[in-house]
Amino acid sequence: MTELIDKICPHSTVSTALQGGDARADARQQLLRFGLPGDRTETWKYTSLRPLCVADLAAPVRLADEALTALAEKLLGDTPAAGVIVLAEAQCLLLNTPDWVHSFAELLAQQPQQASALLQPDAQVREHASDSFIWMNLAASDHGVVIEVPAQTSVPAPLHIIHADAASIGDDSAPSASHRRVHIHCGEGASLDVIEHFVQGGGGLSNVYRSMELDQQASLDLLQLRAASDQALMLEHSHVLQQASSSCRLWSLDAGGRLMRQEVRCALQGAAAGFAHHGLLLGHGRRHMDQHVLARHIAADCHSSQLFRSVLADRSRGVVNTAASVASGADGSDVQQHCASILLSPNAEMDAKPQLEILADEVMASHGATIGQLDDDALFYLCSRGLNEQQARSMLLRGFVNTVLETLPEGLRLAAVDQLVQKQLESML
Amino acid sequence: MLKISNLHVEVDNKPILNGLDLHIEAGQVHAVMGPNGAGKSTLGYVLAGRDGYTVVDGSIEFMGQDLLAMSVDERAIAGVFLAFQYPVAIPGVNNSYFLRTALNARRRARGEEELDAMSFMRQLREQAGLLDMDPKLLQRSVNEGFSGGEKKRNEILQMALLQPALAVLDETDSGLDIDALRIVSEGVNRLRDDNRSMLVITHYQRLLDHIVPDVVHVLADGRIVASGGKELALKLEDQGYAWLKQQGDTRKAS
Repeated sequence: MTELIDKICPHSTVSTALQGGDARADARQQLLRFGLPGDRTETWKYTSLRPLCVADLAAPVRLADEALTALAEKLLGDTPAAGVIVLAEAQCLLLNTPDWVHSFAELLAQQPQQASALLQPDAQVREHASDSFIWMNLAASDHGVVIEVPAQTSVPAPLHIIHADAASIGDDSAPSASHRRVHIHCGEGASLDVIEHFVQGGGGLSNVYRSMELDQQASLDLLQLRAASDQALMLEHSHVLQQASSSCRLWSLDAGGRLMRQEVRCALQGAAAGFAHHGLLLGHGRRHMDQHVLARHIAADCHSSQLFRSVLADRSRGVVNTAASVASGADGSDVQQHCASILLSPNAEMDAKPQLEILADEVMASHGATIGQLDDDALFYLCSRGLNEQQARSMLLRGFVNTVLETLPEGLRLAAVDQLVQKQLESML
Repeated sequence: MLKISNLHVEVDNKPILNGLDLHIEAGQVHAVMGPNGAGKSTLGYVLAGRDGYTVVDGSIEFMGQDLLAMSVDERAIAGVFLAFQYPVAIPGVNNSYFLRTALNARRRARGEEELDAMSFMRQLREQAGLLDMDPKLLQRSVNEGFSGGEKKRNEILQMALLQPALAVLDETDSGLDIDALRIVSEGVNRLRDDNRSMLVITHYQRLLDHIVPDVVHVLADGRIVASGGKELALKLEDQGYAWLKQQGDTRKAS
């Protein structure tokens, strides 16, 4: 186990090269104390780290800024953008970003005190101390981005974050382990849209720890487009902390990678705050995707929605654990959870685990999960109108995933979303 | 147009149709009536090509082609249309997008140019208006949350757009109130012409007041046991099916 930790997070890097002082050493101590999760760890029961164990991981390399800029231009074209952030193997490149967007590494160097606060585990990390990959991130994250939207600022176009590696720009350096810190703070009444593009082309690991804080009446919409190569390994933690009347909506379109796991925890601390996590898991080959979501209703009158659709072909596997806890006194909470999955192959597997824990009296809550195949009656109906079987299957799958896509607000309905989904569905039929 | 000869069909090894013969000329409207379990809906499904209905004997010739050799979509493209007794809801698929895809699949297969969005929408709105259909239903998911009557109107709308050579209406009257029955029937009647045939499957004579058939057949025990003009439907309404059973028993005894 220590061997694997050393492979992903070498001790030499942590102790010598990184700024952050004691916080780094403490985090590594915690990592060694808890070790990596195994099949006896409840939240990792359905997800094996084997693809990570067998991966050869080298040290991250520095890539040419020009090549990364060209990648961003190619990817985004004339898509509206308030700025672009490229997070590559060990660097953060800021392209036309507002002055409240900072490189985490630069912040560490220039304002170590402010930056080291981002290396401290927050309350949610301490509560779930066995989150090894967060400790690993706190110990080893050498780059990332810190976004501080000032109060009452409404950002007119989305910020784009591109997650890249050497292979994304055609560089043949060996795959590496990359630890990225992303922090987003929306001041009171501020509103921001962020689109994350995952375009890693190789078999390296990106370990992302994302923290998002929303002050009163702030609003954050975050779309994750995972289109990485079939070898990419993506392990992510996203923590959300929301004050009164704030809104955080997260969409995950998982259509890439060999192993993808995201654990999302949201604390609805202020009254009448709203949180949503909607996701699509589209799998073929041996892809493994795991979304763990927990919405914690702490204050009254908050609402949360967790909506997932999975389509799994070949030997792919999906895991969706939607959970909500409603604390005593969080009356007026509204909790919606729904997860539906279609298996296109007898070897595909879906593990759905909806959970509710309700300690308040006046609560509206619903949860449900279904796993099935394409409906024969619906296929016959479409074919009887002249669609061939391929067209009918494609139309049914498209309709199935539209339930999630239709919840995207206008500003996040990019052509890239449609292309990613369509390409993925076609590869499964 | 359609020639069914000695059709034997099984579902789960259970015989449902036992030597059915039916001949429909171009431009004719035939009605098929019969008691529950006689095999009426099976006939509709077999014509449309649904899985699970095994043809063990007999043949179906449609416009000179062997219908049984064709797949479900090939039959639809060739001009067979089944208006479902229970239309299926397709969540997430926009109704007008579905109708346009279906129409263009047919046009493409026939070497015709695909219809652009504007001309299609014009045609769609016009046809929906004739059926007194709420335009909002065109932008909703196919049949999802539609009332029974709205689903049936949507079936007739599809038929009007696809202009089939043979329309099989499977209990299109079930679940319709009196006004809806009139509107849907008028929709069907508008499509009657010399080149189009219809097979109307129903339990009740009242539909045939609106869609007046050329021939009425009675289907019982998997075969046609009586055929006649529209007056046969009136007699069935008045006397039920018992007299046919007696007639059959007498025939068997002699």
